[in-house]
Amino acid sequence: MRTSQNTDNERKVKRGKILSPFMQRKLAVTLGVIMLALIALIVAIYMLVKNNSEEYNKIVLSQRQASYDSRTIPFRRGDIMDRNGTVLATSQKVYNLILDPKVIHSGEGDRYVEPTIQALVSYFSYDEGELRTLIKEKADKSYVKYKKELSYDEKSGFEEYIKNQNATYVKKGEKARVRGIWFEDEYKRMYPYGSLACNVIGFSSADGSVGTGGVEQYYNETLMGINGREYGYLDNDTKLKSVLKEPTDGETVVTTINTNIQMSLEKYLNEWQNDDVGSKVAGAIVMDPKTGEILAMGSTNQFDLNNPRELDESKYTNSDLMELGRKEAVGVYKRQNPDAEKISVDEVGKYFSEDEILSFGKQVAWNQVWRNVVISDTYEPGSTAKSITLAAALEERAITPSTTFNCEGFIALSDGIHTWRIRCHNHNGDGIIDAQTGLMRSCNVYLMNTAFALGAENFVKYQHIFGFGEKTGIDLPAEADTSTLVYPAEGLGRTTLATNSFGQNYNVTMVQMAAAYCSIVNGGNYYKPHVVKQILNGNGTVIQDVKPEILRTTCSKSTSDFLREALYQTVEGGTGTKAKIQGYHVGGKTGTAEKIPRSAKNYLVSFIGFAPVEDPQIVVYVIVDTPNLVGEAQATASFAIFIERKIMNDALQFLNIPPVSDTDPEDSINKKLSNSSEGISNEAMGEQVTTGSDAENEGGESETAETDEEGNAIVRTQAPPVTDEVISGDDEGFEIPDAVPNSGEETGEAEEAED
Amino acid sequence: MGKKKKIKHFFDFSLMSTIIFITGFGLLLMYSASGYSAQNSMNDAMYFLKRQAIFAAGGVAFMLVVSFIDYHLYAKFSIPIFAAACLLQIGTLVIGVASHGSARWINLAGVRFQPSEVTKVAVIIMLSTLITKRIYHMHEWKTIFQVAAVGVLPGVFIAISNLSTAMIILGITFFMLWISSKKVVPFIAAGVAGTAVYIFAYPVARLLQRLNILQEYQLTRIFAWKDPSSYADETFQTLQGLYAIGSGGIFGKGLGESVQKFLMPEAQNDMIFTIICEELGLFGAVSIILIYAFIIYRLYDDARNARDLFGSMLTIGIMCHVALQVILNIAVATNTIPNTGVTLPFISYGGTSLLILMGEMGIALSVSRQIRLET
Repeated sequence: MRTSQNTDNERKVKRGKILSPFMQRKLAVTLGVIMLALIALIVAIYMLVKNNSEEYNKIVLSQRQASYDSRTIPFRRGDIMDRNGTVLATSQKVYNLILDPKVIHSGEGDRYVEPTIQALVSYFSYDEGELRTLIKEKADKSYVKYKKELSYDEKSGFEEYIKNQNATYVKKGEKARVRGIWFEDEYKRMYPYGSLACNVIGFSSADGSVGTGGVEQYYNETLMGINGREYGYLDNDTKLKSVLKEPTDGETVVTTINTNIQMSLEKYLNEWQNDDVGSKVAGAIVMDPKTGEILAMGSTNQFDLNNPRELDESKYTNSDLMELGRKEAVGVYKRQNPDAEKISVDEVGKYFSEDEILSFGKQVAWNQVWRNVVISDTYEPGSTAKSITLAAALEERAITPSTTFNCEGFIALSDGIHTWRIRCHNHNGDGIIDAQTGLMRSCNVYLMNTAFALGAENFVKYQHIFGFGEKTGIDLPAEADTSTLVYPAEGLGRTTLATNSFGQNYNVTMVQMAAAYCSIVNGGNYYKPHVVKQILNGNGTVIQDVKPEILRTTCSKSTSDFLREALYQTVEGGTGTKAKIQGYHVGGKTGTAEKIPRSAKNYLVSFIGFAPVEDPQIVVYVIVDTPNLVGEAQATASFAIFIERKIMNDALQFLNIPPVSDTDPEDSINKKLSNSSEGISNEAMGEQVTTGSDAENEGGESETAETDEEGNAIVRTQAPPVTDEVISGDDEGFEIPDAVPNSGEETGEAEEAED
Repeated sequence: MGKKKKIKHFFDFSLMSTIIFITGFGLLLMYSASGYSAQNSMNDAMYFLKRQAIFAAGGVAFMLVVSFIDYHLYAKFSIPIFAAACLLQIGTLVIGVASHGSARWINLAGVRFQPSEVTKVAVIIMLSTLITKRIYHMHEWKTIFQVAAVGVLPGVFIAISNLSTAMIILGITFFMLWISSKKVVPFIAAGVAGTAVYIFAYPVARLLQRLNILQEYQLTRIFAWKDPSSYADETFQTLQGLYAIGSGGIFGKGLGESVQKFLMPEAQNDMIFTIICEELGLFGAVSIILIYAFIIYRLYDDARNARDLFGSMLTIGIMCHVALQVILNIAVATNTIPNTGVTLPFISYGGTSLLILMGEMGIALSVSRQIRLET
């Protein structure tokens, strides 16, 4: 045997000679063993294929199919932000805990059941008995949603826990395992500010597919994405193909809302409602007159967007809900059985169960709570509408700023049978006054004369130009339809023209009034009021800019300039002196409307202000509907002014609008001018109604329009028009309007009453 | 016999071309198996293919270079090579990189590789050298044990971190001793004992479990091996591998049509044979096995005809190495033996393993180069 290379002279090397025979044999045996082993393996593969081919094929296909089992991948609903990027609504990923009782029971001898239940109980402290029954009852189910909205930490923590538990079981050599629990992705809608701007934002359903109210509803399509999906299918060659469709996330909506101003607005409304006199409802809106953007909007109707269906039990007791439900049930019955006899409220028990009635009641209550007062509620505006009447008359040159009328305290109107006196606040009359003074003193006589000079046709034309009776087209749902709540030209008689001229006997919404004022103070451009500024995609890139949209021109620049000045003077030395803000030039107009029915002596007071007068940047409009006082004490415009002033003051700071002067000792001015505000008593509250002997109840009743719940016009008998600030009635009746706006079914005979 | 014969040198071209063929074919199979997971984890379906292709090309070049090196050089350097391998192995324990559980990898000059692969070659060279030197004493127990220690000691040491490599090293040692020693009965007895352990592993494990001598987790591998579907958590890969083989049928689903590769993590590694079965069926599996059989046969033939004992022993060691790895890998894939990580030579993904294997083939070719033919 050699260990090194042979020398060349060795010639013959016979094959195989180098190994001794036993080694040759052993080597051959080794090869044989190896070959046998390989053959054995071929046999093993053959047996596998022969015995299990079909079964394994099925398993493989079903596993494959299962991995694509039409898994839905949820989209993420877009955020809602305020104008500065503060997130008002967002979607957070949460996890639903899904039990698969079928899998839990799949182990032999139920070896998964106990560990699984124990894991859930010890990690989440779930109720053991409940779990046990649930898993038993639904043993044949594969999908039981047990807990919703777990956080990522809870989910990953539990998954880690399961892993450790199972590892422990393996170590201990037990066959027990935690099985059949998995998590499903979902998004949860969150509203970080709770009830803030609830009416503007609205809320969305749990799966993010349906928005209710506000931007959530109006921009639902934009906010919504498209669910992704993963699924498999067998193609022509029975090969499994998989398709993965990624979800498309929703787009982000940037609103025009300024969170700071919105907070102030709600703060002051709540202060009024909770710490002050309070009222049935109070609402406010802040707009940018240069763009029609709504900076803030709200009312005393507030609800938590995170729990929109939670009713305040002090407001809605069970019996209240039943009461509402019974009323609703009548209507439901009527809709379900259009041909049947109408049932009465007492009879509903026969047709509906208690639970049904209660749920009707809740529906009604929710709709009341969720109602956006600013755009859905209509009311008679009162004297704030005088600016519109003046603007119309100036545009049509029916009057000029220097046109004077003599106010003797009332105007007498006659239809040939009766004669009515429609009074001014100042029973003694304002004397001979021009347009500006008419507005400053809120002189009804001046406005009535103006309207007469303008004529019914032009008056109605300008109502529509200023947006009354029209929808503003605001990008929020449930805007009230006021088309039937203003008179058509041919229906506007002399008396209604007279009352219309100072804002009674027709209904408007807050947003209509605010938008109309925006056009008056900005030079005559009527911007479409809107709450959305931009649409962003998932990366935050702007994909759509909502440009301010001028719908029409309402009045000329000169008219606008005149009214701006007149409204400024109204605050400087007229009925609105309480609205003054030190350092700023503020303009504005008060309004006090008597509500229907007039006999109830309920009032809606309001104030609309704007600043700075030189270059108006904000318009703030506040209404206070039926203050919690009795009778004419309600008719105090300063309730609204004080709220407006506080909001305006804050808004000016938030918007960094520099003051023009820091003088203005307002106390003395207030004092000096207090007498000039119409009908103001000298008490500190300001324009409180005097309830002296001269303020008698009015007599006659007339009809005017009001909306019912569905927004249809219904006609109610009502007291004649009132002026703002002071209620002055006498024994004489008022003319019945010649016609009423498209009345509903209750159009009855015009009732004339005199007392 | 008086005629003077012209000496002709032999070169095992058939072995070389078969190796190049199976390496190339292996790349194709590896790409099919790894494309999906590469796309998922690396965002590049060709990731594993590219890396493996570089190693394969380098490996073939390496093999050819080695085939020109006189293999007697290894006998001279057997001790340094062996010592280096042992040092690397110890180094792995100290500074090794854990991958897939145990520390088997080491970073050397920026290259990450498995020292245990080197150890296999070092053991083969060392054993060959010793056996060649002491061939006349190989019937003595003392010599047998002394020689065996060269394989057994590193084998036991590696068993700490890598049982399957240890088994291969011990297997190689066993076969090389068996062939070189005149003793027959003790080796056959050992073989029978090994078979008995294999056959009785399960009943014994059950007995031990019942007697509560060993904890179940220690026996889990054995239980899971006999009853994979009851231990679905522990035997996921094995079970899915079986499904793959079974669903492949006789002719398979076609190259690239495997469904199981989507489910099995790292299908390109140890379990690649199951994907081959799924895609190419029993037919393809048998073809691959035949190719291995041919390689083994060529090595056998070279070993028989080697010019000297050292070359012969080297080739025997290499043959045993390839054979053991093929058998163990396929046996694991078919669940014939409990799961243990052994790569399929020339096909499984893994740079070190492929390069070392190519080096071994180069040595075998170098041995074949020195065979003289009678003409």
